[in-house]
Amino acid sequence: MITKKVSKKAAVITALAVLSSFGFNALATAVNEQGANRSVQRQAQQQKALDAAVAAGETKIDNRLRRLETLLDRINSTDKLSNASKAYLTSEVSSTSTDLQDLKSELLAAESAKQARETTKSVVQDTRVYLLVVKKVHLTKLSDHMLTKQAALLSFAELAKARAEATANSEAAVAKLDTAIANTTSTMTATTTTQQMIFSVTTEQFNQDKKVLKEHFAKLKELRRQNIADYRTIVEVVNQLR
Amino acid sequence: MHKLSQAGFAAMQLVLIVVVLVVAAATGYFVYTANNSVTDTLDAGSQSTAAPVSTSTTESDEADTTVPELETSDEALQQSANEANPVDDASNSEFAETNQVIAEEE
Repeated sequence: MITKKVSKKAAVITALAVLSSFGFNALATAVNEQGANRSVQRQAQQQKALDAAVAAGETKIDNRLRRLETLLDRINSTDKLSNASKAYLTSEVSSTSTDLQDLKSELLAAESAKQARETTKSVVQDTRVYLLVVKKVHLTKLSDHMLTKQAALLSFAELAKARAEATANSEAAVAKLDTAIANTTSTMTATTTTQQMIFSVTTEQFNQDKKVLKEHFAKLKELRRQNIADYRTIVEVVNQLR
Repeated sequence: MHKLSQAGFAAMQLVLIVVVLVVAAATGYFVYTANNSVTDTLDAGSQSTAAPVSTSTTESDEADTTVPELETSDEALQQSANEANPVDDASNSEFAETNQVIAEEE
């Protein structure tokens, strides 16, 4: 009787153990499968994120390279730039293009989305195509234009002085024209200095002081105001010569 | 200690669900805005369609750009004055174009 009870209990326990073991095995298999699926999904997501980050970075680089190419064409075809300015800007644009090509190679070799995003960040911060290079080209073109106009203003002032000197009682007029000549010469020197300062602005300097180009542009505007005032003086003096 | 009724438990569960949803939504919004901010920073300057800026000179500049007419029959002087004019169309156009480019913000 006792043996029968014991064997019945043993049978029940064994059956429970076997059932539990099946249950655990099934559970473990399910968990393993789920884990493997998750790992595959994670890898797929990482690859998708990497592809998206690389594509976004590539677009940024290609847009900048196209803009630089257009700039280079304009620099080479314009007659509003001096040869020295053309040489400087061509070198600047070419060097920036090379930097971008290097970043593109780095981007295409990125192994994670984070790495690709970091490289894309460098495209913006380390080359500054739109905020620095493009603006430098425009400021250089403007300063070259100003230098041409200032040279013409100097010739105009000297011609007016010659006419004044040939006129009787024109000492005051000649003195005014001498001042205009001195002012114009001074603005030519200042414009050349400002242009050199524009050339020398580096990406690092720009990143530290975003207003640096605005300040150079403000200086050019100030010099233009002086040129306008001198032009006005010369015209008024000539109009009064009789 | 009072025992909670079934209705009390149900209410607590509802409150907990609402709290979880609010936290999830707030976290999602925070991540979304932070991500947008990073994207904006990366895109800085890459668009030529920047904020509209004045394409012309400022008011104080305009006040300075009036020059008198040269009244002379001397052709050499007249030609020299034309070449030296610092507010001719070419100069104004150069300044306006540069003004627009320089005003493009980060």
